[in-house]
Amino acid sequence: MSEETQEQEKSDKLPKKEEEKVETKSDATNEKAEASKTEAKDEKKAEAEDEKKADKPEPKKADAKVEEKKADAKFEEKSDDAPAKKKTKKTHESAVKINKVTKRFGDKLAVDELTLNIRAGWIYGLIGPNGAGKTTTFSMLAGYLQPTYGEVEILGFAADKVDELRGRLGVLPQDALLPPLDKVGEFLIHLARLQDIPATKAIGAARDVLRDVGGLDWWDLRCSTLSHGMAKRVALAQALLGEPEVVLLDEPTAGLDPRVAYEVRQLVKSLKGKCTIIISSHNLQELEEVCDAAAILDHGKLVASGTIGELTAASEEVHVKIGRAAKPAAGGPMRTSPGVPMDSIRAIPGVTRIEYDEDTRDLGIFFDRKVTDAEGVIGHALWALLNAQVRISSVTKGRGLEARVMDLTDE
Amino acid sequence: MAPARRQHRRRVGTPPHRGGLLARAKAAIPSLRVQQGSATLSPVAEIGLIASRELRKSIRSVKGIILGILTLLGSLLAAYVCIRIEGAFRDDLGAETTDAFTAAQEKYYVGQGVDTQLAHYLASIPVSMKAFLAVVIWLGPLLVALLGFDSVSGDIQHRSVRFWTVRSRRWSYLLGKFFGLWGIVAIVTGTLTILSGLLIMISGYISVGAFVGWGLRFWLVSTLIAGTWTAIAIFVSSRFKTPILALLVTFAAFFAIWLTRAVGIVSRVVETAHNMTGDQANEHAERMVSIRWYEYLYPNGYDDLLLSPKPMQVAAGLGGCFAYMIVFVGLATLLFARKDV
Repeated sequence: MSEETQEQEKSDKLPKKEEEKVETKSDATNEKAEASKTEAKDEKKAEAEDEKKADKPEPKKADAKVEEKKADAKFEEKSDDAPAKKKTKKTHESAVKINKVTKRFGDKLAVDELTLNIRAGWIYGLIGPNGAGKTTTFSMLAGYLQPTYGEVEILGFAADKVDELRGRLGVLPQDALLPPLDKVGEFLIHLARLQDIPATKAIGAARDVLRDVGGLDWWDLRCSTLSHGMAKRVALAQALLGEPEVVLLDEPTAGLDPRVAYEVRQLVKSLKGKCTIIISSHNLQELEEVCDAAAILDHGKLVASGTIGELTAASEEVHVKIGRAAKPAAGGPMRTSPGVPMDSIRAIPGVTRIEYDEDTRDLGIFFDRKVTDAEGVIGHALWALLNAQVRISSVTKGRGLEARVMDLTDE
Repeated sequence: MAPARRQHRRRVGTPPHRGGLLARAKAAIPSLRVQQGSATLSPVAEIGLIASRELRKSIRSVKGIILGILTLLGSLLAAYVCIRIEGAFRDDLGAETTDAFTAAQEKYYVGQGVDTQLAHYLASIPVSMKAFLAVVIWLGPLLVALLGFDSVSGDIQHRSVRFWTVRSRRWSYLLGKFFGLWGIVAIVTGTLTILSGLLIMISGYISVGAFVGWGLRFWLVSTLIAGTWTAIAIFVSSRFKTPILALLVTFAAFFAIWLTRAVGIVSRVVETAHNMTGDQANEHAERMVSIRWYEYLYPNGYDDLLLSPKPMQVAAGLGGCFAYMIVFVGLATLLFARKDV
């Protein structure tokens, strides 16, 4: 199996966990609206359960132990699927809530009644074309902008409650310049001190984050002497100071060379489960790679949101890239396309339709997720293709985030 | 659990589960911090951190260094001129020693109708140091405008302010900027006062005691007055995101305030000229008529109040300075708190 397939498999464990879905209020497709209803029901159920539990009197010690064991068993069962999501599983807590937020700049409507609910521990993407309202939303989350209407809550507090969020919220602004006269080390120490990290520990904290971004050698350099990539990494370091619970990253890899961008992605991935990360980016491949879930914005409105698996329809379609040198199998079943055993694939249980594009050599297999799952379809399809001696370049679940965004957003 | 309590727990970010389950989650993810509240840095510490950084920044910036050198050279020249002025006064009054000069001045003030006590006090003020104070007070607004125009507007323009607004209260940030700028101006005026005082002392016009006593008083007066200009500069700087525009508006504001004094003086001169008749002419020419109310808008005029031997006048001077600072810093804070950065 290709690396890509393996990666996909890892990321697509998420759609199974219905209770983790993001609350969605969008004007998107009917399909999306149905998904939203399901999510809303799940959310209500979860809340009702919480309330029931909360209203019950304190259980006796023995009962409590039983309850705890049950809960732990549930927890472990779930954590087999995604160990990194322990916090999310445990707490069912929203780290960030955006409730009917509207932002106007004069007559211009930048964000229109946006509602999002982002679970703790997730890496969440904000996606959309230029002018979609990503940066405005991001800025309201960071407290830079005041919403015209609506509420933004970070960890239960309004985004502008600096005192309550001090040290718990880290932000990488997209285009903020580092103070040119400050040395990197003293700048980070200063910010650490403002986060109430004691003077004795501030140096250590600053060094730790600078090491994390691979910039420990820059400690004594003035910020004005840093290259764009170095400055970006220092800015990322300040966002991670003091292990914040929520980290907002605006275009974290924009302008970075591929190697550094890769390193930054690895760093973000390493934070998965340790804190909630919200990334605003144009780089869809990057978001697909690192995010658990995402919201797609267009013209200030939410057009879709959900786990990456949901957004890419990973639980409803599989795409197989046929190798260039594929040859028709001698004596094989009838083929409507050279080398591809269409009938065999169509006969796979649960498959509703198949599409083969000869130009791109992309074989799309669509299936009913109530009947089968992606893994089952992949297994059968590969068996059929290999039996027909078809060469396979790659297998992916879903359509890819890029295709999904293209469908949902205007030009 | 009562709904209110449950709501509170959610507000502070505590998950609804408890006991062993929570402990297990924490153990599973060591770096996960489930907090009841957040770190609380006192506003004073916050302001102190920002102000001290502002001081450091001003001292090491090219602008700060150039301004420092120019101010230093200019003030040495000014000190020399002040010494020459006192020398000329001494020659006019025929007083060779400081005691003789003081006595001659006292006699002069009494001759002008000033009461003996006040005349004694006025005569004790070193002329050259007082002249230098006038230079420092005049230099203050210029220094404040050049050092402070980009204090906040520069951060807004380059959006560096965003590094601070997630970590400090906006009013602390502005107050930190204010105190940082005021601090650097106080350091500059203090250095000037010390250097000029030393020069005057070397020239033999003042004793060590007078240098320390009057030097400290003059420095406090110039610093207080500089505080009013600093408050205005910070207010203007916080309203613009283009530093050069902030500089122009700062100068325009300072000029408008100076005009209140200028208009007042012209008005008094005109009125004096109209009222001059016969023997009263000299008296009117010396004292003119009482100053106009709007002249109090010009903070540089508070030096006479602040140096007065009468406590009420000192209090009025202090009140004027602090009122300026409170009004402008308060206004800047209120507006900045709601500003999109």
